[in-house]
Amino acid sequence: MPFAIFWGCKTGYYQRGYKMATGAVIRELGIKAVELEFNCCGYPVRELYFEAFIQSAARNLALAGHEGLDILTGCKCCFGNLKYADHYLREDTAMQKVVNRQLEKEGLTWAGQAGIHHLLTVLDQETGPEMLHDRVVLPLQGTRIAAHYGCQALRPSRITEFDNPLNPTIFERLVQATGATSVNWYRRLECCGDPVRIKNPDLSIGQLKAKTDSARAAGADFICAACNNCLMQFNVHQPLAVAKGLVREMPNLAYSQLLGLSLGLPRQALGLEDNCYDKLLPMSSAA
Amino acid sequence: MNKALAKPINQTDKPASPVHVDELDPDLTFEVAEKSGTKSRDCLSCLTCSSGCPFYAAMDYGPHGIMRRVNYGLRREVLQSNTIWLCVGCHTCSACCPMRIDIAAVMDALRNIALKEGVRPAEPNVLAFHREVLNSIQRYGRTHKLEIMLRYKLQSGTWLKDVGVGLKMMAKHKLDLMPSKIEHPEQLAGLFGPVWRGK
Repeated sequence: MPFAIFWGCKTGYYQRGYKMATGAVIRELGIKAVELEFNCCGYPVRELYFEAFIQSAARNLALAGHEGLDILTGCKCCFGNLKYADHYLREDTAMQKVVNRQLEKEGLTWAGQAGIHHLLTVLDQETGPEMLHDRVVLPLQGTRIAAHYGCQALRPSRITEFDNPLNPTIFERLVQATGATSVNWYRRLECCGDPVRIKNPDLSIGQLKAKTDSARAAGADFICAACNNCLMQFNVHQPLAVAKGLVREMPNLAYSQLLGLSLGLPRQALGLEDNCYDKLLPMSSAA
Repeated sequence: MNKALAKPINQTDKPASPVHVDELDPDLTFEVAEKSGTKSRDCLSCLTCSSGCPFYAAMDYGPHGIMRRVNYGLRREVLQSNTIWLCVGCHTCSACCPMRIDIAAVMDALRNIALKEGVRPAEPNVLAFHREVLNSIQRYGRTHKLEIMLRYKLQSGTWLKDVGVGLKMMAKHKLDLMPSKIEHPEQLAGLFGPVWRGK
């Protein structure tokens, strides 16, 4: 059965490379996906107006449920918050009624049918790292990758059911499946610093510096993320901070780009030219 | 987190202000418990939450300080603190808490109370930015980053500050001129009930 693919507001519009690479990789692996008219997952308004967050998320869940599809997203924030909203609606019947009264106007109902998956959980649980490993044609041997987890998918783990929140291994498993080496770095589970940017830009850059320094100290060649917000931080805001001399540059790429490279997909299909600091990418002459 | 880099904003060496007994709100901890579904009064002040918090250096009280103050009923201090606004909800504290307190949910509840009571956020520009995000979702069904940034910059009076950033982002396809929108954004307008209507 196909997945309803949930790109999120940032993928495709601000992270074009991530969207292209994800699309290319799931096509290559035979994962079917259809696009629905999804709206914002609700995460950006969660702090300000909780009810709007739940309703915004519920509309997406109802849309997918209406089609009888499960949601597949490449963004950890969308994933975690859709999961959270789904869980919240299961627990709070009063909120369920309010939400469904609004959704009825569109002929939709939230009934909790739609499952929610992240790209990494699908690759790990349905495709499987061994299967991925068999598909790899250009193993990225010798490339050292710092896997960056992303908060919203990892915690609260009781709700997101992503992996162990204190010692997760899913991302490292998938990185190793491409033939690359995953490094153990100190700040791998910490926030990327993007959500605090508007409130306190200095703090956000401080967090970026702490993270990139930690990855560098562990000997990583790249930071690899699988979340729109984390990629915004590493791919969009990092070059600006580097230009101001606040941070030393740390190359980065999205997981689907890494996987796409190892599967032997052409560079153009992976949107690598949109990536900052891709000059160090392995096999830049290949394909 | 690197203490030198994180610019402490409210961590001035202000002397501990005296506690006015008539200002204490003994029901605060119960109000928060009801809103967040977690019991802040279980807190042992072990500081595990603050040790793990990536933004602790810039906070005035830190998560453990907020728990303590909620339990004491220091309502004004808690709602005016910058801690509740610097929290990004990464749930590191909640995952580590030995008493299984969902500290991030407590922060959510406190922000909610602060907004309902009209307490001015200790972090400037928070409200203006959030309002633009909300407006964007109402208008397009999705967040349109360029318009949010422009409107926010107009509101906060910093609109010339990052023009170069914007141009670079556009060159790298990181910002779109046209919003990505859903087919019928008006269907979403109803979702944002009467509590908050943007402007």
